[in-house]
Amino acid sequence: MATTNPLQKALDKVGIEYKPTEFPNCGLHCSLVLEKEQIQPLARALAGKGFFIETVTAVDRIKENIFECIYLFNHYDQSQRLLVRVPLPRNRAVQPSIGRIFPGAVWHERETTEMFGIRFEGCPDSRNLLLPEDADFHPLCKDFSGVS
Amino acid sequence: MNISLLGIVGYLVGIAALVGLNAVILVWLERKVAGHMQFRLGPMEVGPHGILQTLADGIKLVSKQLVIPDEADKPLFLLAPIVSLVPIFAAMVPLPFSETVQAWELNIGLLLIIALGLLNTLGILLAGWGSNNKYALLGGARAVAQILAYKIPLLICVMTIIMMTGSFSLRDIAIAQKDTWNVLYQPILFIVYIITVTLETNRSPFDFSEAESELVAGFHTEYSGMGFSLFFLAEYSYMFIAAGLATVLFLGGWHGPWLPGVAWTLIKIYSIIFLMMWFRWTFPRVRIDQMLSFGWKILLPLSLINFIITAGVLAL
Amino acid sequence: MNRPIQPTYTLDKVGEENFALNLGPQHPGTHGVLRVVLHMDGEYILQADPVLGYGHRMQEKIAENMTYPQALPYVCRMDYLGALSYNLAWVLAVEKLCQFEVPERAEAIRVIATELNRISSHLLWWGAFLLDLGGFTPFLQALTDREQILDLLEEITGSRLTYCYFRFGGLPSDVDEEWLTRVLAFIKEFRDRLPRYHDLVTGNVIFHHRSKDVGVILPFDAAGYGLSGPILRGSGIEFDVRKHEPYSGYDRYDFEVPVDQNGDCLGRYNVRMAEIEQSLRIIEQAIGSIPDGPVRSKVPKLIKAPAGEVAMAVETPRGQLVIYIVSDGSKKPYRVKYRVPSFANLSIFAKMARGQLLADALAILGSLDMVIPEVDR
Repeated sequence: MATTNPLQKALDKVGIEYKPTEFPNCGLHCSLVLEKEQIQPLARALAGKGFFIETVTAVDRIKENIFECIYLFNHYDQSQRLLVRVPLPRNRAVQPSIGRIFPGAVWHERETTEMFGIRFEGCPDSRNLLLPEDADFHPLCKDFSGVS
Repeated sequence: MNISLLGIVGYLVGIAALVGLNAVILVWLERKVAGHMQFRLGPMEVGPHGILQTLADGIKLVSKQLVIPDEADKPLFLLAPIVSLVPIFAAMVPLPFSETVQAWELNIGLLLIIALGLLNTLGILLAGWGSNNKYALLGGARAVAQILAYKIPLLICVMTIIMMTGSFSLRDIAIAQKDTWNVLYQPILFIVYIITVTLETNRSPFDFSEAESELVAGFHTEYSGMGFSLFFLAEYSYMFIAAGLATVLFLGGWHGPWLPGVAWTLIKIYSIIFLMMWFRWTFPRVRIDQMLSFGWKILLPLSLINFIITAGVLAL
Repeated sequence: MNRPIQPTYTLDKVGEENFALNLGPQHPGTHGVLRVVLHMDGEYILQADPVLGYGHRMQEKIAENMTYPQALPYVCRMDYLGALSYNLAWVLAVEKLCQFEVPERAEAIRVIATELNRISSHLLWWGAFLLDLGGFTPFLQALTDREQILDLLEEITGSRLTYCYFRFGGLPSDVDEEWLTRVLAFIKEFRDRLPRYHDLVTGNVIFHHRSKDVGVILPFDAAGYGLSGPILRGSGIEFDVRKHEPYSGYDRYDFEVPVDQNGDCLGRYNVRMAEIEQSLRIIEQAIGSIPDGPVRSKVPKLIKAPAGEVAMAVETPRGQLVIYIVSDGSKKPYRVKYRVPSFANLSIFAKMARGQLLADALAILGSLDMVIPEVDR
């Protein structure tokens, strides 16, 4: 059956099952957990269906020793907020960049890099954005306790 | 006419008093005009209606430290405000205030004023270069870039009037308008003239070399205290001269009923200055390339066509 | 996790003709501590590189170390011109997370206050944009009207700029009938004054020359950079969180989302001017249909949010703000992410400024309506 939902179309294209969540309770229409290889094809499919990037960020799950890389996408015509989380090992956090698919993601990725130390492979620009250019600490990590 | 030492001293004192007093009045007037156009009162505290506010500010400016940036070209930096101000003392010489009140009747008075007006741009360029600041340099470069775009239409305006009168003497030009003012013959020319002198005096909407929101303060970014106030003095004095020239060229000089000639001249001069202030507090700034193309593509042909038509009418 | 420090600003093409111009952090045209490194060829910009972080306060870390009510006043410090929208977003996000009820009267008052705040923000933008274009008078005219809004908001919130008025589950105090009447009186007076704004600026030839076809954003680019707010609607995309994901009862009010197809500075100008009128309409309807009743529901003294996550989007004067909270069930949020509109909106500036004149670049920056502490957080 053909669907008019752009999110479902985009997910169909990359072969991911569409499972809607309760929007009024959490403000998300769909929430996915993906492998890091899946993010670039998904981003391409979403860009093709007219989605825009809301943000790229991360959550430090220090107890499980992982970073959750978080992506938020949405659509301009009808609200379809998609949350994608990609678990990354904390000691080797490398994630493919979507900066060449969504140019706006570059700044979000730069911010995530400096705040968490997650490296975005292929990001056109990886300088510090909000922190001083020589800052080598990652303040949003849960084990960060300040700079002397 | 003899030149005596006493005469020169008297003239210098008189002109210095005029330049100073004019600046004091104009700064106050500008603030008042700005204030009332923005639904506020402007200065009210120092003296009645804040008339002494400028004096207080002047004392503050004079007593301030003169800061010279380390990287600046010191001689040029110090010279620039002086280059800007000094020509004014000479440019006021041929300006007639009435049939009898005039420093010195020159038969090429008009030419002198136009030529000395160019020195202002030199002052701005020196300030821009000498400050060794990129914003100041851009301001100086803009002043030079625009000079041709407005000077040529301005000269053609002046030439048309000279052609109509047959004299370079400002006094003769004013006398020739005893019955009918030139503005009635040449309304288009008058508009072109007002636009070009607004450009020449760096007033908004053409204040490219200052351009606060773009170039911080343009050519006088690095100036403080006395250097800054000299530029200010120069700007208001050039406004006075430009308005004085407009009065003589287009508005019949001192001619007018009832009041004495000097009063009429001053009324006309300050009306034109008020008009220029009105522009400043109403319009946003034009972009410099738009102004350049406006100067070359509209002002220049307009004044040229006007010149040719006037020549044709005069020949008939 | 150390990585090599890259040289921050490489001037590879600087020769005799080109130079690097530091626009900011102190510059009258950047409206705050934004620094843009411009590589110029004369008056033309070859490359623009915004440098952020001068106002960075690590807001997200601060929120992690505070309980939910403690973080409330901090949120409003980000966008100092649209503080109530931020206030609202935080309150709504926590209410959604904890499933708190909000009385209808409180919702209506929230809408009235937020829309008043939106008008005041747009008015200040109007003045500041014209200031960027070199016109000084509009700024003070706009402040005259803005002052009245500030007075009205000061009465109910107690502050004039960084309001913190909304609480979880409602409001700390009710407003009285007299205040509502004065808001209506202000709207009537302001409607009379709005045509004067258009007389002074909108029809001005110089203004048109400065803003028309300057800084065009194509709809395609808008999606790529994640733009939102009046900037997006100035490019012809009708996206407004108040319509798409209605909150606080915005779906009860009849209002339009102004759109302009041109995508230039003039388009963004027109959208914002039309938005002021729509905000007036919303306030009128909200006051007209305001129900009686309590303004605060019962909320536990100690707020412990259930474990989970929530995203709450709110339309601020500058665009879509998303507050994303991850909770681990304690009284402090585990992770807070502020997706701020100005951040995404500024990211397109480098692309827009390339090849423009310096004067145009500042007009574009002005038309983007930046609040730098919001970008830096």
